[in-house]
Amino acid sequence: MNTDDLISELTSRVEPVRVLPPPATRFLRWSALAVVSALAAVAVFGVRPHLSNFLREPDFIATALLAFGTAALAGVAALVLVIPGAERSGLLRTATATLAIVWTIVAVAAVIRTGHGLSGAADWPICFVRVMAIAAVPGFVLFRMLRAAAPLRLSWTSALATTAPLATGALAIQFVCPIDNPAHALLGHFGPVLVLGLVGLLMARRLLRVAGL
Amino acid sequence: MTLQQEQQATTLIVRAQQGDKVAYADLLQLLAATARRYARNRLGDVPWIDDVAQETLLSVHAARHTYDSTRPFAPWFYAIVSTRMIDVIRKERRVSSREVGTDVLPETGRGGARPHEDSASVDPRRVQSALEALPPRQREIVRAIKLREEPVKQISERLGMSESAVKVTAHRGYRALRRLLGREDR
Repeated sequence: MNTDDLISELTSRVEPVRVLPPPATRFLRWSALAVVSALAAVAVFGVRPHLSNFLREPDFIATALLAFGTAALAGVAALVLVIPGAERSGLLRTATATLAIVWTIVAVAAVIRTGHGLSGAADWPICFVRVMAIAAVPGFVLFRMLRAAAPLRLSWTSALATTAPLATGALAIQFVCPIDNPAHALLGHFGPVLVLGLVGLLMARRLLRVAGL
Repeated sequence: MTLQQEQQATTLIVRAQQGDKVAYADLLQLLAATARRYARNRLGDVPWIDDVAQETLLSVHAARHTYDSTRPFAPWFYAIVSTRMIDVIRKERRVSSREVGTDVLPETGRGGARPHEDSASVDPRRVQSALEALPPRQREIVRAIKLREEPVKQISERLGMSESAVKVTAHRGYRALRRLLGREDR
């Protein structure tokens, strides 16, 4: 098919389209859903005992802020990335990756400080599954939102889109899980973010490939 | 893209988003020319400049609802065309690493044997039976290229395959023939 034929073909198919809202608006919609999912999870699984004591602990606050920051930045970056030309620089992506790396270092350092390695980790699969469950609805919706736009950089978008809801899940589980062992937190809370983030990266084409793009 | 062209494109895409076919046709003509120029400036006169233009148009069509008229048009368009150009380059590299050019001279025999000596060493009946052993599509494509000397473009249209797919299938067919004839070492 030559280019003129293609133009005729595309022109014959053109119909009015609804212009996509800006990434900021879409992010606000998605983050509202993510907050509702996190609150629903806390309500369903129950708040951990003595939460008010932990809210004053620097480690607890640092981990919560890292999870929150990673979730928010990853969500914004993914939604910006699917609008061609909307990303002016790689700053958002770099900031997200930096936060995720810092979070990894903090989680691993906490395990090393205890001196027991991963041997003390107990019941982490329960939290692993719970984090995935909390992330399921926001993750599904986020991928639908991204596919409705124009995902051109599939690997980055997919990795960010997997990280955002899972980081939300990891944040929520902190307020639920009564186990303070750092090895448990590394495997059960942070583990899903790392593992499924990589899965998202590897399955980018399958998850985000849109016909014509 | 000049400032004037950008303004024109912005007007046209806004009308196209409302379903205006004439504006859309004008927009695609403008963008095809711009994509060709962009690709030619970066790649030189490669034969697949039109592939870049066509892939870009398909993406513009799929992504036209993501253009926000309050934002400049050029970054939106160039993000698409540069991504599509990279995809086409990758595809071309993949294909050219596998394909066998049909415009090169046939291989001579081992130790510098001349072509007629080489072909004399192969029993035509063996070649025929090796050809019969190929899967139908490979057999058809090898016959079309080597026996009937049909152009790849014509074969691709007749069989409903892309030209790249025809070349890759032909290459696999040649390799299978060499294996069947015990000439894998060449």
